[in-house]
Amino acid sequence: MAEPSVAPWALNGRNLADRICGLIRINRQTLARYCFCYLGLIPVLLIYWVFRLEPIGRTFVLSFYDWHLIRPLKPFVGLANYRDLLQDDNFLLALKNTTLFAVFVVGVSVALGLALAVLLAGRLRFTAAYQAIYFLPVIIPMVPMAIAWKWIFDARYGILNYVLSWFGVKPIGWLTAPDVAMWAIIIMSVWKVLGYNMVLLLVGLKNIPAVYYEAASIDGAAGWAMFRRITLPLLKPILLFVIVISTINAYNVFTQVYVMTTGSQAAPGAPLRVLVFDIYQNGFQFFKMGYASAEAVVLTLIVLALTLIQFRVIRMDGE
Amino acid sequence: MSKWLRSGKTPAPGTTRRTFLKQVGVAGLAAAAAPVLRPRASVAAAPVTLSLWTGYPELEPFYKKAAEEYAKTHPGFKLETLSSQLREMEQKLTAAVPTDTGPDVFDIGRNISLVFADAGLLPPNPPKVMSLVKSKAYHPVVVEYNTWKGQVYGIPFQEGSKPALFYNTKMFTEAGLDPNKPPTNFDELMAAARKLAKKDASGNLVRAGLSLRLSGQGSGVAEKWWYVLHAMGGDLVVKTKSGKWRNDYDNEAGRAALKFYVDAVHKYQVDDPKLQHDAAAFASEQAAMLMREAWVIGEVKAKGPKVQYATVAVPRAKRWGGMTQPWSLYVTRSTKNPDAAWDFAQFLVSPPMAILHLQMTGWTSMRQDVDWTPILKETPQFKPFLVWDKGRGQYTEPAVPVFDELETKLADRLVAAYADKSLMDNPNGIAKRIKEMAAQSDDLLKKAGLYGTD
Repeated sequence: MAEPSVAPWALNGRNLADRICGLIRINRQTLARYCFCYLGLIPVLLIYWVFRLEPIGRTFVLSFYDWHLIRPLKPFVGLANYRDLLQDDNFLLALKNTTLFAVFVVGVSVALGLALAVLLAGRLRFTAAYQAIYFLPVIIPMVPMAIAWKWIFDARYGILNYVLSWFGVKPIGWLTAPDVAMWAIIIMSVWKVLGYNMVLLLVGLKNIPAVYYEAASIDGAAGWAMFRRITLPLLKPILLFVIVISTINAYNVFTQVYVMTTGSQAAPGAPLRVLVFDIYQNGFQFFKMGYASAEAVVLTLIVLALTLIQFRVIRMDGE
Repeated sequence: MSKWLRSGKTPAPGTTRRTFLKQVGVAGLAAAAAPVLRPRASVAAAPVTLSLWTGYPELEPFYKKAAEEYAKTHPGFKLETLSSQLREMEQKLTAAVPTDTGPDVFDIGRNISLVFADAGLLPPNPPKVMSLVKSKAYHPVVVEYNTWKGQVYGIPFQEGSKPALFYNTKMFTEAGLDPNKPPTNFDELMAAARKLAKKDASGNLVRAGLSLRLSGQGSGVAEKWWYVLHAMGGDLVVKTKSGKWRNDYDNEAGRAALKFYVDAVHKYQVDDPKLQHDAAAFASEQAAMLMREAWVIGEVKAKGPKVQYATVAVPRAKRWGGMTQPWSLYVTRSTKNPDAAWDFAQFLVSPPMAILHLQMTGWTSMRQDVDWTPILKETPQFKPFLVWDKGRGQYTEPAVPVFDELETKLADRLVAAYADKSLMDNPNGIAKRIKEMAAQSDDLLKKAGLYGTD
């Protein structure tokens, strides 16, 4: 019987497979499995490339151009957009406001979230109900909530001023007074994110083995000492996650500011200018996409730097 | 062309020479007139479907009704409309027009159309439309507004910003003011506002004597400040002899306009940022006076039908004028039916449609050759918007591509200034604020290469 003829390309392919196997020291079966896995991943990676990496890369490239959305001429300007940012009062104000917002929202929501988690982790009645109540704002979309809060904060008809009037407090222009408006947005944002932080920290607390607390109590430790020496160190990975995620979200604040401050019955403009709003305005109102991209790059770098610092600080502390 | 001539046959027996010559003459005239009649004939002949995009959802029913009217004389005509909120529509158009994927017709403000025109993305008006726009149907300021580099773009459609003073006649009477003698200058306006403002037992303002635009993000704040600034003799920007631009409010007029606002809020307390504002406040009788556009009439009709009020032209100071900001209809370069698109756009601004437009939407037409008598009989409050008094000028936004950004950024600073009590009786503080604002405006013009001095 004559041997079955083999196509030259098939022989080449077989040789190639043998070579790869030899090179990375695996057998052909493992190689086939690897190939299957990577082929399966290609569509996902492609989607990730198209919707994540490519836009990020393009934003970076755009930041070096005077890229107006409509004008046909889009000249390369190098670092001019970045230089302009440093002299742009609106950008610097937005950066200051966003940082203030992030510091307070992250600080208060993590501290309060931790306090609530510690309370709910103990032997409290109706724990599940409390968890559900605190978590409820997280699942409600931001736009309707921002509209509801706009009414809560309304100087004349808002329930907040009504309640405060029982204690003799004069009506406060929560969203109209320049020195109060940012605090109003911070209060609303803390309320929105508190439940999320609390649930994550609660999961972390419940995963701390009881044996540590038992050993500590045998050694005479209690209360604050136990919390400081056992709870906090063992909660650090979750705490790091919560702080990082909260910081990223806080620097990206936009929806509540936009919804609560547009229109004629709204906030005092500049004191509530935040970075993403400034990016939105430059990009989609003034169509200065190059400039808006430079702002977006700066925002990304700030968040990245803060995240790295947080990682470093918490890890160093752990070591 | 005559059938006989085309076929080369002789006239049928029985046809007299005179009849034959008559027929040839008629055929000749028809042939000569054909090129003139052809565009109209082609518009009417073939059923056409046009698409129209609008940034004002409340205009959609009017467009549909107008399309029904148009279809009566243009059988088979159909209109597909798409509406969204203004900012969203601006974004849609900025993506669609440069890529030739837009509609046949769209309405938009000049902040967008000017950039399209500058980039060569918008066709200028064809001669027939040009003659309509340049006819006496429109005020020269309006024609100038739609002109860019010598070409006219779009058909002025509706008034975007023409203001008037709305005042509550019942409150006027209660305050001892004569509702038939409304304020004619800004001193009288402030004096009336002080009488009309109402406070509760604790001294909190519960009714604004004059509701001003004190807060909110966007160019509207600067636009409303401009009403006062213009009357005081200033402008946001002015064209220099070199054809460039510079601010025109770092001067006495600018300082007087800011002082008017600061006095209104802090010195005379005729308005308070904490109060309800705008048309909603006027309709709910929480404001006695308001300077706003014609759409407020519809708003009051819907939300405060029992409110007794009248309207009058915005008061004067050194100058008397009204702002005008035409919202225009444009035809895209990518339309497959330019003749039909332009024809329909012209139909939309025709006098009967101008009346329908006002009746259905509350927005006023830009045309000045429409007989508004039936409208004024029904709703006399439209008068200062439709009938222009002698001596009352018109002013409008300059053709400066960065003007929207300039107004928006000025607005942020104005809002902060209105809230600053330290500016009360503080001419130096006001002058400093105005200088800072003006420097920012000039800086924007410089960056756009548009700044110049005399």
